[in-house]
Amino acid sequence: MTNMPPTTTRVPTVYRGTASRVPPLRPYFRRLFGARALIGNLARTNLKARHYDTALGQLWLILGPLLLAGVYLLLRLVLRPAGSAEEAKAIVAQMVMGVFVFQFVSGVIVGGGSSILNNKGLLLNSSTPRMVYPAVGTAEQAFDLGTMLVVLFAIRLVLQQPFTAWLLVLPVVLVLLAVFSFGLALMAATAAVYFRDTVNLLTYVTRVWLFVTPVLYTVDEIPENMRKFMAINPLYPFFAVLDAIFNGVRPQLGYLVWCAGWAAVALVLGLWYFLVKERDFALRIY
Amino acid sequence: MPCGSTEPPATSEPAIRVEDLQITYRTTSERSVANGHRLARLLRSKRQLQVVEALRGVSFEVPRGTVLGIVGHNGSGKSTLLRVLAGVLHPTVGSVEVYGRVTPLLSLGVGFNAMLSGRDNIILGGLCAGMSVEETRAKSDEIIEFSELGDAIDRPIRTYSNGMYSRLGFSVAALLEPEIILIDEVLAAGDAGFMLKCAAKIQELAAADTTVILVSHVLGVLRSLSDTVMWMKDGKVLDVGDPYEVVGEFMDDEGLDRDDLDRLDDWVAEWARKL
Repeated sequence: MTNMPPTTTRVPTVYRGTASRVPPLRPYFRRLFGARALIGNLARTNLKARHYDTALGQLWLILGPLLLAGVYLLLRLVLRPAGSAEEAKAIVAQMVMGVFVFQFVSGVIVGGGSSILNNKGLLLNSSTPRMVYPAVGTAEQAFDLGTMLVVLFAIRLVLQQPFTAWLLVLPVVLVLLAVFSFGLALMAATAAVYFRDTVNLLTYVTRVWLFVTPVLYTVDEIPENMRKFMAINPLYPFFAVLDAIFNGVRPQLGYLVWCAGWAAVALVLGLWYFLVKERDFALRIY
Repeated sequence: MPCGSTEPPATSEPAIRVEDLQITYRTTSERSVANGHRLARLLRSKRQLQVVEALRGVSFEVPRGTVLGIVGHNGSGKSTLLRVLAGVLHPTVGSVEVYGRVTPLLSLGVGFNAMLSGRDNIILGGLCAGMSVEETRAKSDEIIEFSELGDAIDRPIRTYSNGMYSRLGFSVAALLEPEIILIDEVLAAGDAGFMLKCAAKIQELAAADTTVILVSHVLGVLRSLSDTVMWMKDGKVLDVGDPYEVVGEFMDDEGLDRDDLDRLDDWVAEWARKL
């Protein structure tokens, strides 16, 4: 066996007792980038394993969100029946979109919350950058969302909903939303290591968040006196833009700027909190 | 059993350098609350914070291509030390320099995904070690052959026995061409035949300039495989040196009879000849 290490190995990996500090960023992200095959592999195998034991198997990937959207739709139409068939179609299309996208956001955050604790085995046995684990969850959710978007467009086609050029803005909004959610996932993952209760709480927090975000109702339906409160909900600009582009209306530029702002804030705070605490994770869950 | 301890180390370049390594962590321990009102007891936490000093100032150096055996009572800090070397736990105080690629600690048996087949887990192990899927795949036939798992390799590993588990763990770690390999008590879980095969592999690796850190309670095997043995107790290094000497000191401390081990050694050697 030829096992002569290359000359680069003469530069040692050094672990030093340090106070809570952000590690050197360039080497960290180089290592994270080097772990992209691992992230892909873990996401793929998790998707494979998720519905391994069920009769319908991978079909649940589509069935789950569809049933969820159906439940909310039923609730909505019971509370306030649609005036006309046209209105009913528009409501269905809008709500299915909202529920699918919100499902992505909450999936990334809740999944991120348990990502460190759930990967204890791997985490205690390899030195891979810990950000791999929340990233895997986000990748899985992104894959799910991609699948659901295909379903969504099929539904819109059947319901004869508008397809306009404004839909070209969709990738931009979704990328910003993914960045925003990933930032929150990093915070949730870190917090959960110190306070296990975070995982339990997150389920309820995201549920409340769903109700205060225009998902089960449209932006127009929000009473005037409640709108000012919407400014403090980071998800509001995202769903306002989504609402506009799916209805073939020009989205407000101001909302897009808000989206970018929230995404940047969440990412920076999430990265900072995660990176400062990351080296302590293994000891905490040891 | 061939005796590998007489060979001088291939180079004197360090593979691992540890200086004043300390690992301290806080954990909770249950405390019984007997007095006070029921409501007060309910509200008062039954858990108490406890500070564990797993390693208290460990320093040593391992030259490249040598086998370092570590002995010590349960809870002496051996596994914690391996986790630090693997880059899993970060020093509370002190520094650790590692020259070269370290295998993940798959041999500890928890790094695997139980839902996946043995074959998929080999790929996962390779990726964790920083190798590409292609590189790992190229090695997997060799790994499967070494593990002697046969058709079981395509079964989910939750169906594996402990022995099969450690066979896979050792095979993955040893055949991914590591520069430094950390082996924690894998020798005891496999059957006798596989244990001897592992021992031979360890010697082969060391001869090819791989650095081996070996933790085992199978003292006979450990002392004949190691170039140096380190004795740990209560998170401290008590002695480092000649394998026979240090293992002897450890046995004396544990109240074991050195002669028993020599007799056992003869028996294993005889057995190895028969295989």
